[in-house]
Formats: sequence, C-alpha cells, structure tokens
Amino acid sequence: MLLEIDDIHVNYGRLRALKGVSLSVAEGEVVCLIGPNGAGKSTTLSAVAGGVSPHRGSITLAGAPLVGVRPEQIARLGVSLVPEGRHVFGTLTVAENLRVATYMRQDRAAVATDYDRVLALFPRLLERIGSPAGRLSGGEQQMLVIARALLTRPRLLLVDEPSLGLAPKIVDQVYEILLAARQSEGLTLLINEQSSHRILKHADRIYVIRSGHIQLHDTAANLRDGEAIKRAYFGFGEEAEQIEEDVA
Amino acid sequence: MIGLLQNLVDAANLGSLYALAALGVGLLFGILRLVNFAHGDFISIGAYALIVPSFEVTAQLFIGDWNWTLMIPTVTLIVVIVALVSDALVFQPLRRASAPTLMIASFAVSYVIQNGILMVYGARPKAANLWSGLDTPILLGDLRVPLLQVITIVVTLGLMGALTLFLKRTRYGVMMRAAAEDFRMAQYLGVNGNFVIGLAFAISGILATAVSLLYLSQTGTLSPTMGVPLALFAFVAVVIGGMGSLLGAVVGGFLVGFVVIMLQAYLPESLRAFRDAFAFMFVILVLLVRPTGIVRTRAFIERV
Repeated sequence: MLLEIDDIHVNYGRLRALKGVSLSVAEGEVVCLIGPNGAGKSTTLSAVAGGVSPHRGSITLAGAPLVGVRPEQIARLGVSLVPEGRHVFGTLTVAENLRVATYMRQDRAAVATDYDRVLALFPRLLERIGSPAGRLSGGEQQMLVIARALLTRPRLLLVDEPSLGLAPKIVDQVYEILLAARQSEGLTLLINEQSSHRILKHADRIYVIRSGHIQLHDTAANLRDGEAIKRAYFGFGEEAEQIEEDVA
Repeated sequence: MIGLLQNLVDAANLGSLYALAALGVGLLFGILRLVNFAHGDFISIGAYALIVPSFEVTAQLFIGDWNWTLMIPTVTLIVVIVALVSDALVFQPLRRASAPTLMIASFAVSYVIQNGILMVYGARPKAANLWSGLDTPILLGDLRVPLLQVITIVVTLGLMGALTLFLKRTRYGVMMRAAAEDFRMAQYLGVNGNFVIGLAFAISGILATAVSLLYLSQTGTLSPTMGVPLALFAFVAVVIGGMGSLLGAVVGGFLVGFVVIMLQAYLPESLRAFRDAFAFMFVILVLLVRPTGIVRTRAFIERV
C-alpha cells in the first residue's frame, strides 16, 4: 500500500472530527472518499498532508510514518494536497504560483520539462501566465492549483472537493485532466467529493464517511447501483429512499 | 516658498525613517500575523551595538568608530542575530498561537531587550557622535539640505528598491510572498515555513539596523527606549497604509512623516507641544474614511 491510514482520531478543541478512520490507497489507484458536509473528508486529507495532527492512530506513506511530520516535509516525501476552496496565491502571477511548487525539487533539469508538459495540459493557463492568479475565474483557479500540485511531482495527489462551486462543464474538464494526469504522470489519487454520481465512473474504490467514521468501503464496480452508498451516506435505508422519491 | 521646500525635505527625511521601520513591521505581520512591538528595540540594539558598554553619559564609539564598510555589516549582523534569536526562543514555540498571543509575546521580548540594555549601558540617555562629518549642508540655491538627510532618503529608496527586487525576482522572495498570502498552502507545496519566517526576521533586522544608524547619526542621542516612538509611528504607518501591504507600509510611513513635520511647522506655537495628539487625530480620521487602510489588500484583487 502506498498510503495507509490506520484508526486516526482528530479533535478540533472539543469537537471530535475523526473517530477512528482507516483507509488505504495502493500505488496507481484512484480512491474516492465521499460523505456529506462535515463528515470528516477534509480533515482526513489534511491529516495526511500534515495540516492537522491526529492524536491517535497512524498514517504511513510507503511505510514511512507521517504523523507529527511538518507539512513541507510531507510534501517533499511526495504527497501533494489540493485543498478545498482553491487557495491560489492571488497577488502572485500564474507563473509564480507554478514556480513556488518547484522550489523544493532538486532535479532542476526535469523541472523545466515538467513545466512545459504540465502547461500543455492547461492551455488556458498559458494564455494567462503573467496575470495575477486572483484575477482568474474559478475554473481557471482550480486548473492552476491542480497544475501547481502536479509540478511538485507527487506520488500521491490528494484532491479536496474539486467540483465545489464550479459549473458542471468545468467539473468534467477538471476530472478529464486529473485522469489524463493519472495516465501520463503515473499518479495515485485520493479524491474527496460530496456526491457519488460522477466519481462512480472514475474511481477504483470508494469509501463513504459520515460523522467521523468510515461507513462503507468497496470497489466502485460493486457499488455501481448506488443503493449501498445511499444507505451509508444518509445513515438510514427506507428514509433515504423516501427522500429520494420526494426529491424526484 | 523656501520654508515649504525645507519642510518637504524634512518630511521626506522623517518619512523615510518611518517607512523603513514600517517595512520591518509590515514584513513580519504579512508572514506571521505578528504585530512585533520589539521592532523598536531591534532599532535600539543597532544603536547601542556601536558603543563601548559602560554607564558613562558620553558614549564612546567602538564598532561605530570602524570604517563604515566594516561597521555596517557588523552592526547589521548583530541586529539580525538578535532578531533570529528572538524568533527561535520566543516566536517559534508559539507558531500555532493566535495573533494576540504573538503580540503579547513581542511585548515580552521588547521588555527583555530594554532591560538588557539598562543593565549593560545604564538608564541615562547618552550622547554619541556618529558620522559627524555628514551634517554639512548642501546648498541648492537658497535651500540648505543637510547631507545626512539626502543620504537618509537615498538609502531608504535604495533599500526599498532592493527589497522589491528581492521579492519579485528571487526564488526566496517569491516564496516569502506566497507564504505571506497563504502560509499553510505554501507549506503544502514544500516551502519551509521556519526558513521563510527566519528570512523575514533577518530582513526586518536589516531594515531596523538602517533605521538605527540613520536615526542615531541625526539625533546623536541614545536611550534604552529610543526605538519605541519610532516603532509606534511605524505601527501607525502600517495600519493606515493597509495591514498586510508592504506598499501600504511605505506610503503610510511617508504620510505620517509628512503630517508630523507639517504640524510641527505650521501649528500655532502654543499647540506645538500637542503635535503628536494632532498626528494621531489625523490617523483616526484616515481610519474613519478608509478603515482598511490606504492600500487595500487581497479582498481587493480576489474574485471568485
């Protein structure tokens, strides 16, 4: 396993955000973590990237422990997080945003070719290479943070709710690019989403998280009809169907 | 007319000192959200480092007597080390603390430095003659400009230019700007947080040294609290310039210098003692009109 999360607990003050989450991602896999708002999806990804420290449990990347390691060192180990809400450096130009991601890399020659290759995936960014990132549209900013993350040359890319606040057409583009990058860069992906319908197509395996617990995990193929996901997601069976009917 | 020009030169001179001090404060605020009240004491350290430790009223120059090519790097190094040590001992353990906690910690650093100076050099103000050759005036027609003021303004502009080049053109500068905007995100991209903060402290130390030397050579007086009013006006400059903007800090610094000098020159004699009260009234006015400061940051440029 490339990433192994074993029974992690995270508290924010008195709020218990994660109450024993275990999850694993194999090299080359696309794994999706879905769950409602506040279920602990973002906390799980931050814990892997070093943004929050679990007070119990362990996280390992290819066997190396990550708990208690500083975020910048975890980045150097090959984990890159694209946090929710985009987080571009607004006053830096697009080019500067991209360059920040390459400063930790020692392989200067490879950086130059990576830069051209990644930008080829995002023609729109090339057009706006000199503008402040804060002036890009939401979709363009999402492209920028993904491009930036790819330039760190991650072994494991964590993407937190890439579709949040974006038009469906742009979301499709984002997924196309992520999956293209998976092919070309040999990436392993762990993606958070609130809804399952798009992810069922692309993911190899799916975890459903609710109120700090993993409720369900299985291969995407086994979960294709969506019923099991719905039950795990809402935490009740018949009522969920009732809601579904009411909505329809 | 000549009087006004003279006042404008004085304003540019004082504004330069405030702008330099404000840059040092603004830089740390940008990266660390630290309102560093010890910045004024970094300035005092730079001045006291020049003299022989003693309780005498007339200070004897020691490092201050060296050739400037050796003296400036040595003093700068001393102040930078003090800045880095205060980061390592005080602010580094408080990395996850809130902004108010950091500010209170900076008060503590300030008191420790002031009392350290008191113990080594005594409490009485001292006279010190740094670069006395430089107060010869330059005559531009009827305008008499002290050479020292010209040097102050030129050095300030030079340092600002150098800082701008550093921030825009070098990788460490780009890292610092990224960290100032979103520290955690910069870390996620592999930027070493402690290194960037250390760099900010070092640069703030360099800027403080420039203020020490220029200020001491103009006033010729040392006292353990000499940096405090400078830092106070620097904070005011940062606040009215726009918290988090370095350009704002510079604009604020020059504006505060301008206001103080103009009040000094044109207030009626009987009110001149209350100059600073009027200066702060002006600050309150600016904040009433533009609560976010003159140069607006981030929110201004961000678009969803």
